[in-house]
Amino acid sequence: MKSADKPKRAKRRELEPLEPIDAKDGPKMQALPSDRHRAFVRALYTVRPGHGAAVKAAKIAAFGTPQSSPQSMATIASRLMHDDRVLDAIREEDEKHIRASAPRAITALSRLIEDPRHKDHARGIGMVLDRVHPAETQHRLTVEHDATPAYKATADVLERIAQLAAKAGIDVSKMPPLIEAKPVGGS
Amino acid sequence: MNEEVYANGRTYAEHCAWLGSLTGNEYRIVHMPIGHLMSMAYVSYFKYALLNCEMTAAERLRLLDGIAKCVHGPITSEAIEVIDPACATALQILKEINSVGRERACQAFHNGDCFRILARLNPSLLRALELCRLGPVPERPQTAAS
Repeated sequence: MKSADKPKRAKRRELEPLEPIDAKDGPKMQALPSDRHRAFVRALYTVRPGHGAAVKAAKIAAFGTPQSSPQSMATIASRLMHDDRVLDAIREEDEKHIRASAPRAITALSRLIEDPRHKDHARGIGMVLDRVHPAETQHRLTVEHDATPAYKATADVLERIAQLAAKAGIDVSKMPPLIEAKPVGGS
Repeated sequence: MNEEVYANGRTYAEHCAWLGSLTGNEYRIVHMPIGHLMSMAYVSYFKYALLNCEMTAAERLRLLDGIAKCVHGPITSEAIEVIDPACATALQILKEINSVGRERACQAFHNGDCFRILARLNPSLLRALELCRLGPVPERPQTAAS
């Protein structure tokens, strides 16, 4: 019999329960008003990007009802996408995704520098070296602050002049303007 | 001996009589030390310079310090305050006095000769003199009996 020839499948082994992972949401995700909002933000990274992605994410997150019209869902998705709290949470998740993709980027870079035939081989090496031994540039910034006694004395001198002139009965406002002091030995 | 010239062409007796006859501003001019008379004259010179010449802050401060230092002995700050800047003629006189050296400049102010001329050109010097501390100034000529 044909059915008897068919090898019997072995019993599938049981999957071991996953270890509990204490992944925590960031403060912006936690600040969202409901789990549906958090699910909406997470769904944005799983649905296929493009037109209608936000609506799909809203549906995954159980927004709306089965009877909701496409227009209603589009409105719900649009409101969610323009909610400041959701936008903050998206920004937080963006950072997480970028940081989480760093190991893959490094792996890809490692493969790139091991392939001398790759067109960007030299560029990859340059990127690695730039990060390991960054080119040193020295910036010499000279801040000149004139705090010579003569400069500091100017305000005091003017005040003293005013005091002495008042004592001598001279109206300071009638005095001719002061000549600017010339630097000693200056050109 | 009494007929000998004692001071400024006067015998001792004549000189005493002359001193006794001094009153008011004449008394003040003669009895004020020469140095102080010169100081007051130069204050008017400095004030002219301060109000008419362009100078640096340091120079201005030096002149004002010089004026402030004149407040000494009988010269009061009120006296310095009332002195007006020197006029062009007084300025010329003071410049010439300044050019002849300190000893001869002092001689020029002896017995108040030069100061009288300067006070005629700048009456504020006399007002300043009145504000100086010179003790009691006789209002009437003093006779030998008084």
